[in-house]
Amino acid sequence: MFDRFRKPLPNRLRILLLLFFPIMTLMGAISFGMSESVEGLIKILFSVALLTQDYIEVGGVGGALLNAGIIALINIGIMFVLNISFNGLLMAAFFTVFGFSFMGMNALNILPIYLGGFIYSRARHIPFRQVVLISIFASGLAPIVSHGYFGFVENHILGLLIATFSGIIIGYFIIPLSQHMLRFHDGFNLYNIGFTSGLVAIVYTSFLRATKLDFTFDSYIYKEHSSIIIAMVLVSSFYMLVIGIFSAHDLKGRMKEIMGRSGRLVSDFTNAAGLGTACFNMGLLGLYSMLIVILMGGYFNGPVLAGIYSIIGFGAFGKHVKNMTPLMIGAVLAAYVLQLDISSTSVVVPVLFVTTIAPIAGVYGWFWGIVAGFAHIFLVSQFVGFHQGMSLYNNGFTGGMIAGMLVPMIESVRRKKDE
Amino acid sequence: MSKKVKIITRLVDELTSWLLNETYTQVDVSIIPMDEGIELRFVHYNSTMTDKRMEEIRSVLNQERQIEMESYYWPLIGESNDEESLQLVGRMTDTAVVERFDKDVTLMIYRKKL
Repeated sequence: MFDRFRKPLPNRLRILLLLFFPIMTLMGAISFGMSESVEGLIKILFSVALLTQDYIEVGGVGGALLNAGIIALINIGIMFVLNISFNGLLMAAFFTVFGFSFMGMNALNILPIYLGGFIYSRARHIPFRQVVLISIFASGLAPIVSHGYFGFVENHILGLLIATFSGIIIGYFIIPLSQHMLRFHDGFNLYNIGFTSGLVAIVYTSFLRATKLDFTFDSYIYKEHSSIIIAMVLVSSFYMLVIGIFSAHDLKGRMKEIMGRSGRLVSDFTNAAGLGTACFNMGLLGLYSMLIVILMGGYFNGPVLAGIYSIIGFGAFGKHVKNMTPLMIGAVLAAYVLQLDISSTSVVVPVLFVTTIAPIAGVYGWFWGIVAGFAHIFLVSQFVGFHQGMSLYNNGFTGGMIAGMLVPMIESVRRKKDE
Repeated sequence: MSKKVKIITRLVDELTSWLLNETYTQVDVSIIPMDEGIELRFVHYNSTMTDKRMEEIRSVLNQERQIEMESYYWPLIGESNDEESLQLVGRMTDTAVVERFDKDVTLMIYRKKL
């Protein structure tokens, strides 16, 4: 019945399938009234952009939706023009940044980073399309760009120059750094740029501290239930599910194929099981993440949206219910042991993001997955102090540290058994 | 060492390790630079690889080359020797041939210059 939908689309048309997301968010912003949304967007653009700055709280729901829509359009435009291969990595990059556009990323603070990536490609005589996805992921360091604007001088022009310069420097050097860092965790941390960004942000913050230019900041977290935000996540998940149902061949068999994968980098489900099945898995993970948030009693705010959309994105690039669940169980157990409020955003968010090290459960099984998830909760809240929120990917950084240390320990135990 | 040479040695490492993991027998490796690219040829003697397995490998290695994937993840090649790494090899090469001659399996991959 659905065979005519199952013919492969040209690459650029596939990219246009993502237009659904900016259209959805822009319609949401319009429903809040354009003037209110634009006012919210301006507040977002000229706010500090740290890890704990929830754009739904800063600029209102309308402003946050408008910001997310604009960022999604920019990224789709770049992907379309450069004709980037529509694979799992592209989906992971798009949805991660879409999620983080509700917390810390805006059009002003990501573009200098992209420009740095572009300059890198020119300097190395390679096409920009080779590295553009790294540049898109690297926008997790957008707070440093914002800090360049606000943190040093009161003159706006000078601030803009400092911000642009720091963005270019980050965008340029994050590419070789991210490739180098992969070997620390051997592909067990899916948010590799998160690990790299964390290190860069620690170095940056340490310089600030050493020169007495460090700063304090207030935390803004949205603590209400917005039906439009919940509907957006629900509709996003169903959209991916519907694409999957209409376009996948042998959905059941191929989902089994996905579930059998460890998720270790590079697990591109669009290749291993087909684009349709990967989309179905993404939709399924969207609903699964929503369920987790509801069961924990959490709010659907900026940081939580970042967590959910990252999971949706990596549903095409390494994550599935089977390798995520042990990590989440371990994280919830740790929260109970530490007597943390399970419904607070500071617990819900790491329970979602702990899935960055889902490959540990995928390769070594449930027990080690639970251990890794347990360790993650203990460390994640401590690590944020090292970079003071200058990297939006604090969980990716923590995940990288855990994977880099835990995997050799697991291997040493296993090796002993093998021998 | 140039990045080009590093990538070639990693590809050799990955595929040699993978073949030895399949069957721990003699492997001959030839690295053949050409004008338009490079060919890597592996002869795996007395291999116990089944026809089904050969077909799986053929399909994993004969994927569309994707430079975005290669430029980010190439340092992972030669690290894990699992199916995921083979996927990455497939993304980094243009064609792959897997054939059996008596008890020996020959694996050839070709990587074009960009």
